[in-house]
Amino acid sequence: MRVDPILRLIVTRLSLAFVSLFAVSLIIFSSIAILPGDTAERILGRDATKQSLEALRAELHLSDPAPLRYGRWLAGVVHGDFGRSLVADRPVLPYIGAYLGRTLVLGGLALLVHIPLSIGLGLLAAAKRDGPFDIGMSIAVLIGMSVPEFVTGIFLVLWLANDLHLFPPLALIDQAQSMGSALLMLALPVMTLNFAMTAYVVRQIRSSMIDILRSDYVRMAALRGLPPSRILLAHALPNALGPAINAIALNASWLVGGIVVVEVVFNYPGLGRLLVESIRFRDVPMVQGAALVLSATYISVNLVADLLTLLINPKLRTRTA
Amino acid sequence: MISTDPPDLVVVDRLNVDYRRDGEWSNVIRDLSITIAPGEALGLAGESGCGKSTLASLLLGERRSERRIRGGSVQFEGNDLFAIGSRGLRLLRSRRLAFVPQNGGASLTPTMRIGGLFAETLRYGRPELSASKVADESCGYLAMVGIPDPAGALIRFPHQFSGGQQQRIALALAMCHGPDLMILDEPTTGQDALTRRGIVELLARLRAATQTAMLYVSHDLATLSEVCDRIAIMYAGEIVEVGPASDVLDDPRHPYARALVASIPRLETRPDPSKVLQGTLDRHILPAGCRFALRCAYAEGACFDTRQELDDTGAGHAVACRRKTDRAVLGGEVTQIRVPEKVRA
Amino acid sequence: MTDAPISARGVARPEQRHSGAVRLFRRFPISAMVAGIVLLAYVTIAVFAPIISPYSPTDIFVGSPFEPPSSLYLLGTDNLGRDVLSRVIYGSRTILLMAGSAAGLSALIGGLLGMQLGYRGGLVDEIAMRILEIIMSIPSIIFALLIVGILGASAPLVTFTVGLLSVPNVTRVVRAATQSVVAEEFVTAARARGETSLSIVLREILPNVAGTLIVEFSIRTGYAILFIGGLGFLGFGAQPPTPDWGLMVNEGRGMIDASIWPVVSPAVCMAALVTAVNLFTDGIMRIFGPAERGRIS
Repeated sequence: MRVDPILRLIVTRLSLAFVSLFAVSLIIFSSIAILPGDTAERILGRDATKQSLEALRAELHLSDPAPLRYGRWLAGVVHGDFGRSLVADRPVLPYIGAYLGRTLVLGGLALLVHIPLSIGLGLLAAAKRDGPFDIGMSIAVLIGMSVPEFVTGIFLVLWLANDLHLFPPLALIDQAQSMGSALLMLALPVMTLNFAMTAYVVRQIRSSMIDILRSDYVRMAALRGLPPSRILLAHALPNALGPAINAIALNASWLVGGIVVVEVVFNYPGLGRLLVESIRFRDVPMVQGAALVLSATYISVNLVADLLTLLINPKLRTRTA
Repeated sequence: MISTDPPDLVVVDRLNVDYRRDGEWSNVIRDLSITIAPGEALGLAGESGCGKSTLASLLLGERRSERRIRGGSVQFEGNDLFAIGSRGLRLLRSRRLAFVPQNGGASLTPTMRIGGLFAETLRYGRPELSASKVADESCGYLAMVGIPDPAGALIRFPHQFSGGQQQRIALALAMCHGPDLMILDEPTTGQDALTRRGIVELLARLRAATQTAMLYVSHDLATLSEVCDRIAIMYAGEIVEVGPASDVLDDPRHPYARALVASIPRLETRPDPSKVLQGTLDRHILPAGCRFALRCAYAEGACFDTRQELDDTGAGHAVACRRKTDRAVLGGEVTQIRVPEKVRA
Repeated sequence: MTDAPISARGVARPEQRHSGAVRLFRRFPISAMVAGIVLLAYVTIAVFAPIISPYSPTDIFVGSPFEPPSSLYLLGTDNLGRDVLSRVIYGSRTILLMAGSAAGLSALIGGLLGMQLGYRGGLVDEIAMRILEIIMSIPSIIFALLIVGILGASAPLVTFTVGLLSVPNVTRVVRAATQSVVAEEFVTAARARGETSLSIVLREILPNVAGTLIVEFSIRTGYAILFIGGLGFLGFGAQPPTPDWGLMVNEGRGMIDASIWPVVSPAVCMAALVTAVNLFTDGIMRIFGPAERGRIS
């Protein structure tokens, strides 16, 4: 039976994603449950009363063997039941849903800016190689890669918010009155995220673009008398998209980590900040839920990027002769 | 005397080009002069490193940061290719010049369909054509180079064709805008015998039909003999012998040319592997005079000191060797250059 | 290359050895040399902290809170009246020790693992690579937060976790480098001589993979500083009163109106440190050759 090679690739990637998700859930669960020491005590602290410890143990069914607890949790997850938050005493999932939404907005907006920005800068740097723009770009890239995102964020706040009063220092988006003020609040976090993300990717795109500009087919396009704009847009750019998306995809991992820190810096009510706070409050069900959902998002983003890279490559789009 | 011949298409006048490697400049083309007349096919032969590919690149007006023109000029249809500016160069490249590379497949943009490549070339090369005409012309050229199902080929991508077909497509792309000069850089090296034959025959037919001039760069003298009117032999950045193809091949005068010609595989005699030309071209050790002197069996003291200039021996056959009329050289045993395996194939 | 003699110890690319130290240093850019000096300065400050530092980093109220920089307190004081300069100096110890150890750990484990996998190949290699792929598909910060958050943050735990999380990256790179070395002739020759696997790995493979490993160590150090800094900022790094730059930034930012120095000083120091590490890494990458394109965390 002949199967479309594209379909086979998609299915393979999809199954790998599922296996990863499964492994992630296992790791998330076991990192909390199978750690040494008494779970209930760790959650409530050393000074907890015997009664509260007993109550917690009963609530979380801590006396059951770990695999059983894992299975129960997993079953619950599949049905949309992530348990109840120990802190808020509310079902976890709807809580997470709202926070996830806001994180996706921030991440999405950051990517929306990041993709054209890094591709454009990378192409320009390659086209004007060794010129002043390129040199300036490499300095900016170095700084972007080296400065931790919380430092960038704080500096941007100091300069653009506190000094110049262009943007609000905190992104308390659930208090935003309008779309306009919401976007203003998002501006600094998006800038902070892009400062680091773009640095890594621009470097890569520039390097692959330089290779492309040196290639035989670009040389040939020039020898056919095509104007430089045409060569860049029709011959170089399409071939650069594959490696560019690859670079952006590889960078997605950074976004998940970076967004956690950025949300804390700007007090943005997203899933990353929620995760950090629930860990601090030892809200186990919330931690498990938030971690699982964040990981699932990360895996999905990677999957999409993976598939995009494959589909853009014409060699895979068509059946070879 | 007023010449009634049309002006030469290409005039290279005392070209001097250096090349930079590891921070050091060394000479790659020395005081080279050559012309190509309209409709003429000039073959350029020589071993690797002699500068023939560099010359071909210069004839297209290509600039490279690791290359500099120290003196001389390259003129095409009266235009100095390195002085007309980018717009003028683009115009010439899209309408009058064409290049056929060694690796045809690599010269085709992987993300573009064949039809797109043709449309683009014709849009800039023959802007008067209407859209439907463009498709017809493209199919016509594809058929001419022997690509089956031209209409279907237009919508396919380069990787969907075999290497030989890719080479032919590159050739078709070079022909379709009707250039006055086609520069081919080893177009058949690395191709299978069938493709090689096909391309050679195609070129012959093309020349008969269109009077397109050609610069055919190759180390394969056998192919050059079939395609070219004149042959120039290069060594270490200089032309050592040039003349009508039949003259140069039947009666080479320069010792290097003699060795090169003798090593062409022929049906009657096989090259003798015991008579091998010593050494290889080492650009770091070149005498001030004749650059071939180090490997020449007939070199004398004066050869090392005095630069040899091309000197016409009659009927356009010029040789750069002070011993070109010596009996010893002409009657002497011809030492053969160690020939790489693939040429023998 | 086929003319070069194959030594009994089979070191690949013998002509690179003979290219001379001059050739080598010509490739090492000035920026990297300056970066190297800066790094040396950082390490020196960290080592001699007790001698250099004017005050103890943990003594509170040596001056009044939020004093601006003066001759007494070069970087001013923080909210608890502690000398910022002293805290920054001691903080360099914390971060260098933690990041260096984490990078060292990942280089050690990743190096050994990578060499073994690259050398052996086969089913073990296939399975291990799949496992590594799955591990790498988990966002490391979440993993780190879970471990450190639930188990309780402490410097050793953070170091260990960050180091462990980088093992897959190092393994992949070393494995690839090993595979290309294994393809060389002298390894086959060593096998034919009957050398044990361990001996081959140590004597033939390691010297040729060492360059790649050094580059990876450098990359991982930069990455570890950023990661540990981030964790410290979130409160999951070294715990007070140990001075941790990330934590100092977080503690100070709420009171940034009172004084910017407790925030800006550790922030700038961390940024400068990572910049130096990155520049230095670029430099040594030119010497040891790019093992793999694309330096991404």
